[in-house]
Amino acid sequence: MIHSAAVVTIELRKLHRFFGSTKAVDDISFEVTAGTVFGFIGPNGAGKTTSMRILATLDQPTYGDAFVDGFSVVNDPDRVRKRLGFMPDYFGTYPNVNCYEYLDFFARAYGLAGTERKQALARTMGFTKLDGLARKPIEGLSKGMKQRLCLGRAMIHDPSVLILDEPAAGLDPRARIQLREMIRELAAEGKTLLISSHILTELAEICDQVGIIEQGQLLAMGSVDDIQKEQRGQSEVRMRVLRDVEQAANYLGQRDDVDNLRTDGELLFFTHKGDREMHVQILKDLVDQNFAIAEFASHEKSLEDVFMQITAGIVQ
Amino acid sequence: MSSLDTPISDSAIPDAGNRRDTSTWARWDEWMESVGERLNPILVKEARQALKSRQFGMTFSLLLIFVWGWSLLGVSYKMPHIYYSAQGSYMLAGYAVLLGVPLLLVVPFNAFRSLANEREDGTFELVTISTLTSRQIITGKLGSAVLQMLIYFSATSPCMAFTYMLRGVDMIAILMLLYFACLSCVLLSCAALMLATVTRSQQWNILISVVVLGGLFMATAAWCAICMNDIRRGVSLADELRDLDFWLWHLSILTMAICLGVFFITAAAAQISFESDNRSTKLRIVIFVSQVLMTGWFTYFCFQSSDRVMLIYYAVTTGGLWFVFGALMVGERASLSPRVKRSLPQTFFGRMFLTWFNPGAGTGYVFATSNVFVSMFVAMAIFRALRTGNDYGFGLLVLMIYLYVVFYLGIGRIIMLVTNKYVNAGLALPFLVHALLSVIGIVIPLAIQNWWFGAADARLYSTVQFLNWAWTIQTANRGELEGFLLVPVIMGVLAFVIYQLNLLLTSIEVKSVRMATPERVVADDRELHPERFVEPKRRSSPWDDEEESSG
Repeated sequence: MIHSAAVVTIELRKLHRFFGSTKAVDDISFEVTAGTVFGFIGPNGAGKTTSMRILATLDQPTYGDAFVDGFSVVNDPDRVRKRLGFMPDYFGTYPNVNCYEYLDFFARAYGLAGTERKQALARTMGFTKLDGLARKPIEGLSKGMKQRLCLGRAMIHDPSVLILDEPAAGLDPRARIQLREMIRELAAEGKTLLISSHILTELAEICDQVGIIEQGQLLAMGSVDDIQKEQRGQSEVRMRVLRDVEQAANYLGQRDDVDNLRTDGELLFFTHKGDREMHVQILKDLVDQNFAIAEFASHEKSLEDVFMQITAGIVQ
Repeated sequence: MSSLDTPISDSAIPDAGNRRDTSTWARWDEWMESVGERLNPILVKEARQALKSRQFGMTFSLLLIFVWGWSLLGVSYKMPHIYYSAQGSYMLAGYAVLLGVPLLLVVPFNAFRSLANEREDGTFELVTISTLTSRQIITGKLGSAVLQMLIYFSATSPCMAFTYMLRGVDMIAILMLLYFACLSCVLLSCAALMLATVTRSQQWNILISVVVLGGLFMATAAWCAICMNDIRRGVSLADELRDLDFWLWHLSILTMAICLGVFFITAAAAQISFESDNRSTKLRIVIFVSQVLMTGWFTYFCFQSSDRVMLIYYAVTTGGLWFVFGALMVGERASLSPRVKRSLPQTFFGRMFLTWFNPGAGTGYVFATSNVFVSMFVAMAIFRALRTGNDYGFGLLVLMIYLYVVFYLGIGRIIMLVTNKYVNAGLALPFLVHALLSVIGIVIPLAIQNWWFGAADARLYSTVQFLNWAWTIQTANRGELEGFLLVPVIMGVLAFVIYQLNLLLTSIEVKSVRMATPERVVADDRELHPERFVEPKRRSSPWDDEEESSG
């Protein structure tokens, strides 16, 4: 089921979920269009998993609603389930079952029968690279293998929307890279993916959009670049001047857009509010003034920096 | 090409890529596979798991060892009388006891643990978000229990067949034994599955596990006692087969057992269904059908036996059952989800007669009390037709049963109405609230009488006991309530007030009207099942649909 880019496949509309006095989700609204990889970022207890569980029809909102492919998770959960694959942050495996039997059971549970089921099994096992492990009991699988098996379970019925809760947690670097590649492939097929992860560098690489959530509220949302720009504020520049460091510092000190100027031997540090074009302009001005600039580096805020800046780290 | 289309080696999938084999075995295998396609996925998964599980292997092996051991031991003990006296029943009783342990203890407890484990291990959530319905999940678990039962039967069947060759047992007796073992096993498994859905809390589940295990132990002990006492003495049912009443009696037991089993399954499925689903209507239909069947059987047996006691059983049983069912219904939330509102009856007659099948505490209360009223009316009508005794005394008995159900359910409903604002009640809480109310209804009047009249007079029934349903019904049954006419008057007034109050509180539920199905859902239905899609017709009679509310 591939959608055109404009189709909204996930929508949260004034979503609230209270547990007694705790507001796990507090008025969250956003939309994700088809084929988008959406990263859900937030500290522990921010409300990511609760929102994802509501979308996966495992929980009900206190107020508001969420929609998958236009179907309400509250009123049409059966239709949502056909279109959605959910990979929770736990494995949920059965004893005395091998990989093939596990996936076969879920294929049957999603109503796949006969050749259709066999094809779905072959494709899923091929995609998750579990081909050689079909007869292996689940108890004997490594964490990475189990994670792939769970991804296979979530996508066995070829859903248009996949929700992955902490898919990379506890994986070694190789397994993490493999998982990232799988996510990219799924996104390339036009599937909508909603991923929560603590490994922000990874999310920054694979997500088209991110939403930062804390204390049940959505604090920022947009593409990684947009959020970085929005949160950039002042960027720090580090410069090595071979001669006349003090004069260079005096020259920069006269500019209005430069702050926090300090020197350390040949090194000169300052912050300014401009964008990359402004960096070019400053460097050009310094060169025009015949200062001997050996290094000029600006430190851009990473998603991690933005996350730290936006969130206060409060856990409910 | 999507990544999901990536071809993989056939070796990944067992049996894939084999060349087509046309042998009989291959055709048999194909046929079996096509049957397997139609089976419940849970049953397939559980069967695969069970065949590999150590516990199942152990139980099966132990059963085999014990039944063969009993064959050798019993025969050698009864030698040489076994050749010329009726010793078959002695052997059969031993097999029945041995079969009872796995069937009445192991299989139902496995069914309970199987569902409870899924909820504890998190796999249950993964199953619920598949397209399996809650009923499929429960019936799959039940199917697995039935499969295990059949395998255990297979272990004992050669030995049971052996008893047929001995004197003192006929084939009918063996078949009846297997039939009752099967019925008990299925019924206990259904009950165990329902209890497994009562709570999600691990602590409560441990407590319920103990209760279930205790109950199953008692059932097994009762089975063993019956087998040792009744079967051992010798059973020959050949003569009974010619008696119509024998068949009707067993048919009545079977129909009531099926009703009870369906009730357990429906209740379990309702418990695990999505919160916005209609959890109640199917249950109410099952209860209603059970009530109709039970009334039919009691009516037949009452006329057949002309026995007043049978009618008293009927009145007390229906009153008690409706109190229990009513207690579960009045625990429901009063607000209907938009999903439920899409299928509300909206024709004139539909709203008049079917509204009481809709979910909701108020409709549940009216549904339960109306059914008690009808049951008591039927009991009174049969009593008058039979003319077996004092009309007035029996009338007071059925009246008191009705008044107590109306009063205690009404009080319980008001308590649940407040409780539901703070907690999600589920099945257990309303049941516990009503159980507590029933106990309080007995204890407080007893305490007051004891304090008021002193211990000496506390043993005599008095008007103070008007809330004490147990003592009052007992007194009415003995025909002694005619001396305390103030009791029915007080209870009548109280029940009337509580009933009216509840009716007022029910009005909001009755006012609910059908909501239009969202366009997206209609479009999806049209796309999925174009052949089944019917455009709504214009209203031309009170049975036709009225206009839908869009809210």
